[in-house]
Amino acid sequence: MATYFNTQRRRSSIALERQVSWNTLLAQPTIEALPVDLLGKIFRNLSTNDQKNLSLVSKRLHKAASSTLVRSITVIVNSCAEPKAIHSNAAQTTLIYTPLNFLLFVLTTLQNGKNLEDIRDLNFITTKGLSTYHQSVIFRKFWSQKVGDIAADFPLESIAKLSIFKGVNFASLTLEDALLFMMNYLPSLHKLNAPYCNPQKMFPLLKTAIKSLTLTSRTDYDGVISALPYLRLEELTLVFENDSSQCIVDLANILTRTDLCSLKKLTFELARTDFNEPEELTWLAFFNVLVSQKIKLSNLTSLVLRNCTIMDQQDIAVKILSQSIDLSKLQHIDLGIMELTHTNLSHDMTVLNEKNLADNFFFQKLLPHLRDLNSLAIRPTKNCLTCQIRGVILFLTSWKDKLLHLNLEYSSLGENDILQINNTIISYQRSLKYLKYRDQSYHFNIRNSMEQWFTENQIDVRMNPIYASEQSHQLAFPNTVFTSYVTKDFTDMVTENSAMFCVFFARFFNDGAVGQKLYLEMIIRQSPQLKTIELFGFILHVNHAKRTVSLRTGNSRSQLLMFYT
Amino acid sequence: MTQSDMKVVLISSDDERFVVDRKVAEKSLMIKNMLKHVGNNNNDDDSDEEEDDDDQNSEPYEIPISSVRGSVMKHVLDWCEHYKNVDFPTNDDGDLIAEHPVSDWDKEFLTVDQEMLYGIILAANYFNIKPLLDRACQQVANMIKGKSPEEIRKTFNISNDFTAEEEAAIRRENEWAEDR
Repeated sequence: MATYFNTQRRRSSIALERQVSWNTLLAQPTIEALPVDLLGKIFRNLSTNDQKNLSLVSKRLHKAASSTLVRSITVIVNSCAEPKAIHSNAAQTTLIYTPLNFLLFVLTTLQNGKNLEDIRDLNFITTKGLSTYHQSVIFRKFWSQKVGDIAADFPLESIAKLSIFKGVNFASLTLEDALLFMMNYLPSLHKLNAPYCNPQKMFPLLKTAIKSLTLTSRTDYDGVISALPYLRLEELTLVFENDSSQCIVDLANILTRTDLCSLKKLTFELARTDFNEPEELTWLAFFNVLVSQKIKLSNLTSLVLRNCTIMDQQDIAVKILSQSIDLSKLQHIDLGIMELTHTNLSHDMTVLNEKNLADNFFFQKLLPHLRDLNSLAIRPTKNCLTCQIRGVILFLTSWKDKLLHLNLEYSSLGENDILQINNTIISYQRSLKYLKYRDQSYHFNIRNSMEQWFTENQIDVRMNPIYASEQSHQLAFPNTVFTSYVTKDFTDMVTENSAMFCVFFARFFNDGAVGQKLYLEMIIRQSPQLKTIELFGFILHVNHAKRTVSLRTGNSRSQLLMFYT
Repeated sequence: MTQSDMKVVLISSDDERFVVDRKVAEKSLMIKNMLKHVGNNNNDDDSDEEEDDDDQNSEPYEIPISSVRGSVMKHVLDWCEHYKNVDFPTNDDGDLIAEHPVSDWDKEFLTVDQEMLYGIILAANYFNIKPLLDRACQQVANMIKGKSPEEIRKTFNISNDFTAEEEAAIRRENEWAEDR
């Protein structure tokens, strides 16, 4: 506890500016007396339902709650049976699940008018776990839906009487039109993530300083040009398709007219269906434009290359990146790249010879340019997998003790590879704070090496919810989830009361008479506070006395043993 | 005398005086920024004042905080003392980067009457102590969680100033937002 002592000594005095309303607030210490921005801060911790209830309490709370409710909006464009299971962590944004509710949101906020200035973030997303190509199909379908079809039972006529809607034929509008219509009235919007919405129509409507933007490659960027005066981009996501290099070049030429130095996060995402089809390093065309115009992204801290290709252009890619980005300032790199690591060498020569590997691994070539990198996400593709894993291990070894975050995504990695990577992390990345791990298969040895992490390094292990969408389709307890998970419900790792656990699900195929058998194993740090665990929308009950975790679904009850560390 | 040994005197609105280590007081970004310009720090950007440093360091700086009562100030300083060795890194917008879930100590610390809790929120906001503000707001949010409008009114002693028509209009207004 703090100790204080009184003193009469007075040496120097610093006057502070007083805030006018303080004395009033101190005299009336009720929740309603708190300033609206602080009420908003409190309310942002609450669920949508709680916020809806708050708005019914009193006029003062209504003002704060309805402002918080619309502050950040995320529309899920594909329908989803178990939304709660997927977005249980989606705090601080209000989710909209159906096209009708999106329409109601647009119409009622426009009708009331008063909360339009509170809308800051607008995001349109699909549920997780879908390919970029699949997402493009879903988005296009969403935007083209007709208001008349969605709101067949909704009294559109009553809204049409409002002056701002005069002369608008609602029934014939699409959802894209509805969004565009709304964008005329959003004075505070600073983040807009509306993939596949027509930029030619959308961007002329931007009248605020947009910091975060998602663009889809197209042939026509007139809309973007008219929005240039309003772009203060800090985050930019470019979704593109095969053979769209020219679009990327055009777009880069347009964007270089703005001050790209404020850019902190840049994401390239290739929407592709056939991963065997060669792709012509489309993403690199963007950086080529920067180099030719002598523009350097000097404040970029995060670079994401998803589904992008390096092929045998590693040296060129590294050269162009080092000329167009201040790579020493990069803190986060997410590589989901197709990499042909060794054009002229056999797999054996690469795996067995470290020099061959270093000479042929993109990341190893990038390494001399890096300085601040502390977060890495990597998704080795199936082609040449073992060589890529060797490359990852080489990187984790050379970039010793510098990573805080590591996100590893594999597709069916062999047991030996996993063990090698785990051992490398234990030995060479001791400062790691967050590990996200994802694979489609499970190995007992993961558990063993995890135990070592927990006891020796106290690493904060978090769950990657990527497979959660699969879970939503399951009727019973996850008897068809065939992945391993690491999850957490723990607090401060250094306190002895922290409740930390990781969970692995596995599905084993026994060839005997037993058929399929499900295993669930947990590693858990003993915590008396840990009474229940919420996982994929299921509530697991923890019994510390019996050292079990149980789940009740309908009439059945599953019981599982816990392993304490 | 080193910088960390330096004392700061905070004077509450009701003239109570609190002498704390500079390190404790600097959990408040507001005070930290203030001391940057007036006191000794490791940056050499105020070399003009260096001559006085030895002299100044020997006695504490007094900072009148006319908007925080002594009872609240004591509570807030207890929190600062408890977390004086913990860093809470923030991003450029001042938001906390990593989540720091509310610990048992915090829960107990924030188990106070509503008057004190709002006092802590206002003071944490004024002093710019982000983690304390977040936790105190979370504490109030927990008091709201899962309650009906009537239960919220009862908990916070709020009277309903809506007519039945206004209430119906608000229900329609929020129809689009489903629970998450």
